[in-house]
Amino acid sequence: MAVLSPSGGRALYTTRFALMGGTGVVRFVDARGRERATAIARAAEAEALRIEWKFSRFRERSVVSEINRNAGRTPVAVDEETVGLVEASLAMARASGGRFDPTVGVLRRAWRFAEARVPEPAEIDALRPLVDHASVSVRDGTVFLRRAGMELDLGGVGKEYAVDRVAELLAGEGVESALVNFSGDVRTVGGRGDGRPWSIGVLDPRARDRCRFAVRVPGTAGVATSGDYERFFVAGGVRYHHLLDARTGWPARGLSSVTVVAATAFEAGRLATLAFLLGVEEGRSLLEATPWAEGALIGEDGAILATRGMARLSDLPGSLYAAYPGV
Amino acid sequence: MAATRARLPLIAAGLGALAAREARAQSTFDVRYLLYKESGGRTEVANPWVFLNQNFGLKGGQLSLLLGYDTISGASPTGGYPTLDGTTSASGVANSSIPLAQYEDTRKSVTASYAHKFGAHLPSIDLSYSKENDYLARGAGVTDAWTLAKGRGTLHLGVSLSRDIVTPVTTHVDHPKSSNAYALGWSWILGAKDLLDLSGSYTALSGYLDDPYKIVPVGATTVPEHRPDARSRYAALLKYGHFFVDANAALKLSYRYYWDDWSIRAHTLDLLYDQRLGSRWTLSPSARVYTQSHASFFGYSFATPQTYMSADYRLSALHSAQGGLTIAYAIRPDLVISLGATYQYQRGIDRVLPIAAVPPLPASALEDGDDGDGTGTIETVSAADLSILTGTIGLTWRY
Repeated sequence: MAVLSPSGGRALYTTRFALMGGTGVVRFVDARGRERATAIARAAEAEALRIEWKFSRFRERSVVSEINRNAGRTPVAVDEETVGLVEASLAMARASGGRFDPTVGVLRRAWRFAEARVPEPAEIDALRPLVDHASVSVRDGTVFLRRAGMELDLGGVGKEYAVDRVAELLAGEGVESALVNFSGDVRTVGGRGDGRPWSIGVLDPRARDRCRFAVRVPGTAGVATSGDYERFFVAGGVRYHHLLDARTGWPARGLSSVTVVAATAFEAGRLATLAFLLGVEEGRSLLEATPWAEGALIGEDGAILATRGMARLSDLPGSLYAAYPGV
Repeated sequence: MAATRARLPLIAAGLGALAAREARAQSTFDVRYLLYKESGGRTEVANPWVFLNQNFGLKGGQLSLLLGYDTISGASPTGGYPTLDGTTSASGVANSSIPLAQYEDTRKSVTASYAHKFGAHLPSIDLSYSKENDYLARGAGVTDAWTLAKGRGTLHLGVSLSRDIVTPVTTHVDHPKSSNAYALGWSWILGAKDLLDLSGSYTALSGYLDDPYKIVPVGATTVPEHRPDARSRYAALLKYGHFFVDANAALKLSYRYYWDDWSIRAHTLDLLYDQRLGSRWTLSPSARVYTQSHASFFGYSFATPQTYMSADYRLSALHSAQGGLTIAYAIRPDLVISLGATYQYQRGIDRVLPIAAVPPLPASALEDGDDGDGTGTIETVSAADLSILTGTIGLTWRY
């Protein structure tokens, strides 16, 4: 952890750690001394890592891995937190008309992005019966995948959940100004402390060393982005990315990136994913129809479409805001 | 662009001086390829050039010609204040904090010079021309090397004029810029093994001296930077050379003091050592340290508009250290191949907090630290923080 300490006692603390295959950054202002701040920073990191270990499908001992091992065999007893997250992801699946599905991860057997190979339609079709959120049963404190071979993946909601949990932990510790950024999912706590809004750059989906525009939020808010550039390959001039439409098993089309500002990172992430899967028009309609959220969509052609309320939350229309070299 | 622009003519100037000094030497033909690369995806330059120095004998004089073609690409700091608190993305690309803008350019240049000995004088004239997408430079110069004190001293005099046109790609408007430079120097041969050289120069720049691509944060917005339209630059240089007869080696030590009316003061200490090994090998390690203060109108941001404002890191206080090694090998007595590399570490002295969540922090209150549990540090940043690697491969043929 690093500290910038002004004479008055208020200091800016930053802690950075590896999290969920990316980087977690927590910045906060506190006036109660370094010892206290160090304890808060450690607690924030511990909470983030707890969520990763508990819900990551890559962790052998996570509850998600336990549920997946028992697919088609037996319900797994889980705690309330797990029930909450699974139900939230199922609600999201229903709201998306099946485009989003927490069991879509099984398609990774056909979509091996590192190999840059377009799967045969038959390979996708063979796996599609295993993509079915309606076969996820949440009952009496248990989660059960009804078909053997099904896989639950809370990756679509877990990171944003962790961001919010850490932000709430900071607020609970009496921190009045903080920014939590876990691999691009952001939550602010309070104001920046200098009267200026928080300024969050939105990465250019086609030039990842720069931002297309900046989102400005005055106080507590969540900001999240879904994009087609996290895992992808281009074959025959077509971009194949990991945001699959669960109904077809093929990448959703029309957009390259959606950024949403909402009350929490979870809500922002949920809406960004849904809007991305819905495509340009329906995606924008969804955001426009959601009164507590604003968003901007970047089409596959690079054009930016924003909700009306975004005008006061960003420096759009999108001139290239700034470029950021990788670290 | 301007960084390379400033650097490359120096190479040409150095060659010109070299050509003049070797007036009685044989002709040479040089081919060289220079690669220049800044860290962090910033500027990269590939610079092949050829240099011909044709000697027509005592009566015919000597003609030299330098042709260069640079390919410049990369990203350059815009001058913008790093105001983003973070970035939102699908993949969480980590962000550092200096806004950069991508650019590409090519630079074609030609310099021709002619020198002829008249008694104790070796006057030379040179003409140069270079063209980039947004910059045209035309220069002319006259120098004289006047041998005095029975050959033990040489007085160097020079005038060099340049009339340039800056045409920003953003506006396509032509802006004239001119430079008049005057130099005076005295080289003194001390005994058989030592050489002392004292010189000074004055350069008057006028016209369009802004960098058209740099911006300055003012209040809550950003505006194009603006610099004075005149600049007087002065430099004093003291060089000392010593030849170690027994070791067959030479040491060149130089100190340069620079000052201008933009309030920049700079010190450069240079060390170059040439070691001959046998008849074929020459090993030349070099080292340089440099420090400069900032221009009076430099700032990372300004609360209210000022007449002159720039956030260009080249006008900020910075220091750097450079080390290098060149190895030359004579394939034949008349054919030498050389390989060289330098590494430069530069760090800004004027620094800025990447985020300003805490209202004005004095830089002295800064405390960086890592508590050893694998977490990172937050640091102030400077666009001057850079490391620069260069590599050169060259072939020299004497005939």
